[in-house]
Amino acid sequence: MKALLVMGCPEVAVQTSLVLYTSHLLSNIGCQVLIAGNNSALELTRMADPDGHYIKNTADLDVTIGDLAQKVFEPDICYVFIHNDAGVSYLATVNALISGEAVGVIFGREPQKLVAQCEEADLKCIWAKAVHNPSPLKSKIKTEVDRWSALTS
Amino acid sequence: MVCIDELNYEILLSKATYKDCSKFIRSKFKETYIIEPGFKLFEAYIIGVPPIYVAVADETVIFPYTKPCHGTFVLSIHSPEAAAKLRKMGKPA
Repeated sequence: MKALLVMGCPEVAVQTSLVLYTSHLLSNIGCQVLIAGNNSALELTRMADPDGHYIKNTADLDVTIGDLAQKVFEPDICYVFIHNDAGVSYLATVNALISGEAVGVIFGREPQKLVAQCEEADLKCIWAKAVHNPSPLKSKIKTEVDRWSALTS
Repeated sequence: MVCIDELNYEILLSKATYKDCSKFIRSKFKETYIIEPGFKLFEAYIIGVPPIYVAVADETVIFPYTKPCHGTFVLSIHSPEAAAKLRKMGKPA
């Protein structure tokens, strides 16, 4: 199974930890995980995992969107990490481009506003208010990955 | 790959929400089209919440352009080729 993790702007502290944790969970159930983001977001994750325990493959975000659009890459599950309006646009785009599931992981200071945008666009998401401490989303991510894993096994 | 940044573009609206950009395009331009997410324009793949509105004015294309850290912009680029592509492949709105 192939999984894609799409990172947003890295300005909110919890994103890197959420991505590493999600990658860890997905790798443990046998997924090949590709992490996509802009250069800064990717450098943050690579530096946090210098031996590549949790991060095996990374790719530029724009190139990845192109690969999805051209069907060069077809993930079974995609988690899009969202803390701003642009993140919802990326989730909607991925959701339209893949046949697998696309799920938003929403965090930041005002997640409710973004959750409402996702609901309006019929996009799936999990969410919690989290800026510096990723704990509010930890169990939700575990539950979500378990849910998806159960559906596919 | 030719990056949008390397093209001669004009910013009509900057660092806005996607919804505001969509409203801007629909309210300011008469000839509008709907494209699918991932539509290729100038070697870039357009990001957005469907329906994605773009516009054509003579030989200029107007479209939303999203960056992860800076929100969505409305850009205008003079390009007869891109205008023809949108007229051919876009769904009239």
